[in-house]
Amino acid sequence: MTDNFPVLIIALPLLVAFILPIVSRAGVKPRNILVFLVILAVNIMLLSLVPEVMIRGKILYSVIGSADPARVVPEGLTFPVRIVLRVDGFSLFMALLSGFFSLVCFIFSLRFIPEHGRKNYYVLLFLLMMTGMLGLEFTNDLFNFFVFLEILSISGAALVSYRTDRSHPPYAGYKYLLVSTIATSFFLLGVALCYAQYGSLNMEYIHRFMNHTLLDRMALVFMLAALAMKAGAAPMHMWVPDTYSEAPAPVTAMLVISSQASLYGLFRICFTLFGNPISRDTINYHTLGWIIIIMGVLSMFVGVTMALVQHDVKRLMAFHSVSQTGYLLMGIGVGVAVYTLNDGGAAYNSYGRVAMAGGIFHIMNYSISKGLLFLTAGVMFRRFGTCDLDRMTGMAHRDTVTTAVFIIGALAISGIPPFNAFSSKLLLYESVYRFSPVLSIIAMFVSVLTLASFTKVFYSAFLGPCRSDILVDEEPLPAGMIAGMTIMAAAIIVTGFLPSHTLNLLVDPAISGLVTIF
Amino acid sequence: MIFDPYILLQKIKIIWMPAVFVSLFIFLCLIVWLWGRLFFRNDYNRGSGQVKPFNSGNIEEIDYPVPSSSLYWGFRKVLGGYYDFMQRLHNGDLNDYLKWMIIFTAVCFMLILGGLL
Amino acid sequence: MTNFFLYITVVLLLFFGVATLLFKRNLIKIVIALNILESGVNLFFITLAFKNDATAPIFTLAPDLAELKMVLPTPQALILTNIVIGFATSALMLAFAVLVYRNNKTLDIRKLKGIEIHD
Repeated sequence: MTDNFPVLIIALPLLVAFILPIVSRAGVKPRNILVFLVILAVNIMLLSLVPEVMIRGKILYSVIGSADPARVVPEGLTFPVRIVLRVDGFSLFMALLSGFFSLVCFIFSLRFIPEHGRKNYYVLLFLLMMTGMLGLEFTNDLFNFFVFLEILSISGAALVSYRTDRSHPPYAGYKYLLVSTIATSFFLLGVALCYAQYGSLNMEYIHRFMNHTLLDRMALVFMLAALAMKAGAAPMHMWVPDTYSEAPAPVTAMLVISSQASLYGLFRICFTLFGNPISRDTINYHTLGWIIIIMGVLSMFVGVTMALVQHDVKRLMAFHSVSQTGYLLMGIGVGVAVYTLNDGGAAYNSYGRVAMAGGIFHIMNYSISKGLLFLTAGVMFRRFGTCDLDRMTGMAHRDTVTTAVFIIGALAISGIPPFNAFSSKLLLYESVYRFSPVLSIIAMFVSVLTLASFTKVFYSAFLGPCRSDILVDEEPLPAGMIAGMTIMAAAIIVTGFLPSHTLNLLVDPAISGLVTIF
Repeated sequence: MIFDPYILLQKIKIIWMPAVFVSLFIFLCLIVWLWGRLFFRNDYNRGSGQVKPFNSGNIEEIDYPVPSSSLYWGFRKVLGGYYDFMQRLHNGDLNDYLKWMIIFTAVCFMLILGGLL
Repeated sequence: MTNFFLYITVVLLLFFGVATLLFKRNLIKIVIALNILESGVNLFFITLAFKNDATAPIFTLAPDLAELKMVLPTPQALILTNIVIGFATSALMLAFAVLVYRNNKTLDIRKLKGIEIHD
């Protein structure tokens, strides 16, 4: 039964997205109910894959279009032929996050986006974004990865420019699509170089036969630069504040998780494509690791120092996105740098694996906290009609739920115990300190500055006198918005109070799926 | 000494009991609330200037807090040169997006292909 | 031998696409530069598939099996997908350019720069 689930998870939102214009003729309520049921069904299917893939450690393969879907290499041949889907620990980890985010953001945007005639297009593009993310996380084929990345980018860009009556969102959509197209063109150049060397586009086949020649290293550099640009890592991060501040709030939360999907692609390239050192002259993993670490440190520092002086809420939070992406790049970079030192894996087993665990756990913590903060920024925009902190004051007098949820999100992302980012940042600090002490000190300093900038947002927007002349919308919040925010806050609290269970259940299988040679 | 994986969190699991944290927090909140109601009720005059924003001792009353652009003004002033340089980079110029990617790709080529370092 | 000149053409197309993206200021010229870049990548794929003295990869009315030599069919499928993706992307970017012009009355990125502070 669960053999068909990988294909069904990708196919179901795609089908419903295409029949949505017909269903929406029946009215607003049937459309909302249908889309909610579809997203809920995808989440249930993802959760039902967890016992098999995470707990028992089995990897599911599914060949699209063949008579026997579980058999990757057909009879009589020695190489795989069709498009293969592969669900292992890391794929399912990211897919669970994507499904969770889609559910929460859809519940939030039920009443946040008003019902013009264009809301049908919004829901359709939302489903396409979800399809793109899930497809990209499940596939084992390089060109299929490229196609789903393009689906994600195009629907994301169209959603960013949703409010076409204002002057800035279409330009932000143009910027996002420009960055995505440049990145995917260079990525396709890397794929073409790999195909030229090995004649196959299957990631596992290339993993087994990778020779690390000169052309393969060129492919690695192109793919690395393209996916790092798409994920918002410094020095290519300048599109992030411009784009995240113009999109509607639930779309920004989806953009956060789609940048993490690009980082998923980056780690797949580093560990699955190029992770098998069988030839004589492999790439120098130490150099590659240090490149990723330097990207991470630069992102952390530039992100947080620019965030301290902004006075637009969403731009401030977008700079924070860049900064927290740097944390997890640093963690995984340490894992890559000690990948194959000539000591049989002792350094990797002692602190490299812990650094990778911290980095992957931080993906989950940072995404949920940052998504929650962007949703509260949406509430601020709805209340005051502007995103400028100079004109906001005194929101805590009326919206107590939003205040509590904002406190939870801001404390979580700064790494304060007992919330979840404390565990992941502690793992990162301790293991990176063994690698190089300077990185750990920079990381702690950046954490302090993160807390400083969120104190600024809290003081300006929530504290202060209760003035009613600057409020635009005074009605109580709809139940959908409150429900979405509290679900995310509950997820933060649950993963914060049970870190070892979350690590054993979700992060350990993710590392085993990613690193397969130890 | 080998740094055992997850032994740090194993050590923390001894003192990381969420039920104790939450019940301790609720208990302390109750104590603070009861203390406040018993002893500080008389000092709170809602109509007087006690609830207005603090104006650092100036006479005239304001009804807005300190604007957020001037909250970290000392920090911004000291690091003025760094921030001017950074603001010029983050202008939103489309040509700069590709310029930094080309620079990064060139540096990676030198490092990974040529083994410069 | 002919493959060599094709690879040189690929490099020239990529170079012109990147150079135009780095130096031009009009929004529509940037879209054209992206099309040139994608044409370069497409040409690279097609050049990989080429073999001398080979026919199209179709089995109907093909020569006998002993002297059958065909070009690779997979890159041709990949290129069709890429051309369609490039078309969709260009269409969407031009739609955004029309909206930007309607709202701001300019297409110059140096003049559109200072719009981060808005209400």
